[in-house]
Amino acid sequence: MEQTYTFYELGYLEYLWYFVYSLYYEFLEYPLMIRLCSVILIGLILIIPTTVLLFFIRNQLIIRKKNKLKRVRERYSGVFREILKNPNNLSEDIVREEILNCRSKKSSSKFSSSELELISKLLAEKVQDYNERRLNRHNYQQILYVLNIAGWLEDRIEKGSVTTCIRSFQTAQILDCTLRGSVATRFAYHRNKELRSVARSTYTLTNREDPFRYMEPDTDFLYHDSDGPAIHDMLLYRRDNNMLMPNFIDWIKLDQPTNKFRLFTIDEIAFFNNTELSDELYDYMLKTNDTQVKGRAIRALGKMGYTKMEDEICAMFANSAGYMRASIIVALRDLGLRGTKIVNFFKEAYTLARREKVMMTILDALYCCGEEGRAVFYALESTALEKDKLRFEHIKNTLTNDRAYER
Amino acid sequence: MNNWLFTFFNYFMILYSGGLILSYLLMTIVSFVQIRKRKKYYSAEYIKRILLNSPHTPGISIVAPAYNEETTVVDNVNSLLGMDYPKFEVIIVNDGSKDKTLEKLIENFDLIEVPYNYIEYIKTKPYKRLFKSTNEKYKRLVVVDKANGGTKADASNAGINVAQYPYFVCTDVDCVLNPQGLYYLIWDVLSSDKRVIAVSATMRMANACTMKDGRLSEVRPPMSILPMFQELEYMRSFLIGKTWWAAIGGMPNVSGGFGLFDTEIAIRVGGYHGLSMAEDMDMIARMTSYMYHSKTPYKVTQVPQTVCWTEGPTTFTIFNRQRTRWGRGLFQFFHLYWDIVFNHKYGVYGMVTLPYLFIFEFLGPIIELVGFFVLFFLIVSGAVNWTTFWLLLFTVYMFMQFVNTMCINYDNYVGCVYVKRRWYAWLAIPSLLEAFIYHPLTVIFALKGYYSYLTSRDFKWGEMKRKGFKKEGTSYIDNEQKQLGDELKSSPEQEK
Repeated sequence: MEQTYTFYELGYLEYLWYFVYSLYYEFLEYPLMIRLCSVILIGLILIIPTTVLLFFIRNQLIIRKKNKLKRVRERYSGVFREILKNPNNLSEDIVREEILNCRSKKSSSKFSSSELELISKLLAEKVQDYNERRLNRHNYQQILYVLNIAGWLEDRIEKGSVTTCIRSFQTAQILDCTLRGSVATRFAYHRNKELRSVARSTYTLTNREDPFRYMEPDTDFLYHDSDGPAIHDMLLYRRDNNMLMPNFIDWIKLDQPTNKFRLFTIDEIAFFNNTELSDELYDYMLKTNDTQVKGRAIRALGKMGYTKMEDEICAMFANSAGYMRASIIVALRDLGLRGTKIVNFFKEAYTLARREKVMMTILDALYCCGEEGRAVFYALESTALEKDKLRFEHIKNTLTNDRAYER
Repeated sequence: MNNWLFTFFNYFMILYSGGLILSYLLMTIVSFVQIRKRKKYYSAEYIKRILLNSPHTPGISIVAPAYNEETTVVDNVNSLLGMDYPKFEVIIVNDGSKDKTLEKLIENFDLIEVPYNYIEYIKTKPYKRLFKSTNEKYKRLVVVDKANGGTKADASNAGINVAQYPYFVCTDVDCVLNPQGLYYLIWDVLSSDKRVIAVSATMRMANACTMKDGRLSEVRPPMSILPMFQELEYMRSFLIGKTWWAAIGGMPNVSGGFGLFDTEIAIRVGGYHGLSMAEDMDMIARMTSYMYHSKTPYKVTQVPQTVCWTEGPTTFTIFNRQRTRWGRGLFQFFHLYWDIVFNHKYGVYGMVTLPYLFIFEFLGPIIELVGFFVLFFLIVSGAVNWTTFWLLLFTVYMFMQFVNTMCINYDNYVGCVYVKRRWYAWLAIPSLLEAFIYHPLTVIFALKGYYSYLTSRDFKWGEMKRKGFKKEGTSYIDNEQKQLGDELKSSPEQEK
């Protein structure tokens, strides 16, 4: 017979242990399914209220942060607007005085980390609101200097977690804030891919002596499509600030698993109109067997007005396929050539073409090829079959002819 | 015999329910890891700054088919044109509307017919004409007029034929998009190691939202019962389900309401299947098969941020029609693509995604129906152990509350879209009632869809009656009543 004890017989502690054990043994007597469900249920009953509680706590923290940002916005927005829109270059002392005047604690000139975090958010908003032309860059740099944003970001990068480091590097790029080269170098080989990437791009953005060292063959540089806009942004910054530009031909020759970086570099050569690289790009185009790279190089050379390639690419046309043919036509059109020879070439190309997109590209080139080209265009239109007439109408109409077929 | 059958059923149900609960638990955990990882590394301001002025930012064509949408089309096109992205176009496909959809577009956006050389990469019902705006303000707008194809797929394909950019977003014209949304989608494409063929994004209900100048000015959870359930269902599906599938590389579908696709791959696989009732699943199945056959590494990703709001069905009739179509579509999908299920050649998609969908999504309603009959039989024969029954029921119910709570938490973590965070509390109502009202309905309508597919009854796509969005300065109820009045005015009985 099972013996039971009472509270008075055992005393406090012993009875508590006895009670827990008796519950446990009673529980073991139930079927497995009931035991399992009970455990899950107890777990859920504990987890759900905890999650709800965490939800409220998090919300309160967010609301508090939002209110702080609101206060910072009220306090600094006006003064930042005035400084950034001021056409005169203000001195450091004036900017400092104006900013400190807005603070409630006028005696303290040091900004706390949390305050700087909110101010940097506000500044990022301002930079995005005002475009480059409306923003007084000198005064903007003075604000960054007075607030010591660079120092604060460097401090965060030195002491923060991986996420903080990534966010800080990104903030530095958003704010156009120059960090010490050594800060970025420290993370250039970090095991975290995102941190490595953002540290390297910050380094490239700010370094004057050897900015492209992480894009050289001995590094583990691997291009992604998302790097394209970032590198382009850096290059624009460097060009605008008369900083050292890279040798794009070296970049083309970099060993990468895909062609993406080569295509990107060729586009950049055309974008920055690096005509001094035309000969080297032309040689590279002749040597490469990849039709996509070849085609893109032809288009880039066309944009840069490299007329020397005319005969060579005309000769290539007959033995080329779709994309290459379209590229040759686009390049010839961009070269702005005139005369019977080129018009006859386009006319012959049109008769040879089978793909609708290529035909439209040729017609567009003919239409842009001076009076002689336009006369041939109209002659072709008059002899075209009824079903093909729309092609000509499409080219002539400025609303439809967005040259989408070229892509 | 009876004993053996019940023992088998008992063990089968334990395994089935256990598997389902474990899979949900795994999904909840993995999706959180994914959302957290994304939140850690992606700063929206940084992405925007990088992409805004770059010539390397890929263009996106927004394709939105419109069929009898005269009530909302102008507001919605304005909303689509208001996207904050440097390179995009909006292609509205008028799928042979019988009302004044096209006339309203022409009138409001200064459209004129242009001689467009339409190249039919994907076969569709006859293309009629193309309109472009003479007003510089609407230069991104393209309106395609075509004969009615009976399905959204056919209209979308016509839009894809006209798309000029390397990526296209397929959406409904009644959807309202987050102006910054395209940045999130394209960043997924650009930052991936593999070729991203499609990107899914979180969708929500727009029923109680307010619009101003083509943009959502106030986002709030729906106040009517059906959309409220759907709000929670969508959150769960996108933030937990799809995030998990994207993480393991086996996304089953990208919602027909909103999704970004690689134009080239979409054209190569022949676009949407014109006769498919589950065109979104069908498209991903064909794109996935194409990538596996061409041995090209690929990815389908999921963006946790809410990018699209759509008007959910508010009446049981429309809801019934929608879910019956989904049920029918699911049956048709497995009928067409059965050779992929459990086929190791299709990797995760063939060995995990489709088997999971077949066992838990497709067979789910059938097993639940059988379960109800067995329960009824057991109650009648007095063989139910009520303690175990209530305990099991309460455990499963609490588990669903846990999943819903987590999903609301994830949404809040990603970034609250509601004006006031306390509005999340509204979602407790559908969470608590879902098991008793909404879930049985979805089961019934899914079974109806299966039955309809098996008996091959004539199927109509069905019209979704739009109520239009609440505009600032008017109350939502006023808007609803006005709409109801308009419907009554135009009803055949009234006309007689």
